[in-house]
Amino acid sequence: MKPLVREAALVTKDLGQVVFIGSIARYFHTKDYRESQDLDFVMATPLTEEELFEKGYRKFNENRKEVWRTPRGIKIDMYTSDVGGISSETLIKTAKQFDADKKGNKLSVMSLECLVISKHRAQRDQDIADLKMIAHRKLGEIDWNLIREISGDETEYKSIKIDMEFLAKS
Amino acid sequence: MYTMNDWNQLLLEVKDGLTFAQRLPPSITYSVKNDGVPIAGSEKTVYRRLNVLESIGLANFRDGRFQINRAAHQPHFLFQKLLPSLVALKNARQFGKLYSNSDVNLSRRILNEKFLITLDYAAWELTRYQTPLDLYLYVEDIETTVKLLKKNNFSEGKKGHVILLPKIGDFSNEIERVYLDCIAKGGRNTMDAIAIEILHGNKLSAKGQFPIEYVLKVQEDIPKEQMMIEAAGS
Repeated sequence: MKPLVREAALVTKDLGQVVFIGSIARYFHTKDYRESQDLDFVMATPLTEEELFEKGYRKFNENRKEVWRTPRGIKIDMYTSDVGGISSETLIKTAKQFDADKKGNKLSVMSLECLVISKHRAQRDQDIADLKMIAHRKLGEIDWNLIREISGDETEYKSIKIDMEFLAKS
Repeated sequence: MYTMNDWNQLLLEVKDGLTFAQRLPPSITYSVKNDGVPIAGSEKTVYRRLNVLESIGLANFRDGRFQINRAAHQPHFLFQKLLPSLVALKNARQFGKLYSNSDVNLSRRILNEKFLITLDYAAWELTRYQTPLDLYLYVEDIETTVKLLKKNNFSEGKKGHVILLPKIGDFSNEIERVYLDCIAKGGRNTMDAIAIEILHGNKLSAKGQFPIEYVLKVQEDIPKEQMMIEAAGS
């Protein structure tokens, strides 16, 4: 098992219902593993700092920024409101379950459609590279009605569709 | 074999294409008609610019749309150094056998260390920032290497994890070459370039320009231990 996936499974065990976004979502949807060593997730029920401390999670000041780490020392970013303009309710409602291992442990991961929308909105170099990979491997699996519904903006929906179709052929 | 004159000539040829690319607003893809023509003046000129950019891997276009590699946004002074990386990447050849990580280990054994590693695996060695995926190798004689891989049942295509690059340009400063290759490749490798600059900036004679939010993100995510190792070593 990939170390970051193992850590994601432990975080799920520690914190309850969390939906992984970022590197874990990219990995499960594309099966390509080229990631920095941190975990990003949305919490269905936000925990207080005290509750996190009780579970062994620790807060540090790194480069003048507050950084949380798991009991195993992995950096985490916890989201409780929205990610790239997608509400946490939508992220949780549309999340997909993936097998974390062969023992039946599951991980909840942001849907392919939310991943596409969030990366299309962010448009950083790595997001474009990820969209290209998704377009090559998963174009046929994208639920375009769901993209339209989550986006709520016809212009954005059309732009995502045009870009993804172009990237799939490039 | 490219001479300094060849690189200067190529730089002159791509200059207008780079200016065109740099005037485009940030976007994933562009329409030739709606985005390109207002800048270049005519469709014919847009395609002329795109053809030049495409020849060094900075653009691809089809059916009235195009995409620009964001390396095209690097400052002009860096392009003299970036061109060999761009040309090498444009001539890359990709191979796979089982199309898994085992191809990486097997190819290294077959080629018996007669190569220079760049991009993913080299950046990982230098920074421990992003786990590597594809094995990019500079080889002296690409045709001989291709024969050797094929003899060992590797196939050439677009999905393999082993990528051969012709050894073009200057390799006297290997860290700098990896850094320039990462900028030229773009995508996730842009973040590798930033990580190399943060950890090995004192070994680079020329530096690229990156959006501040990328730099902050990499700074935040580089393993703490790596920062300490580099600080102790410098």
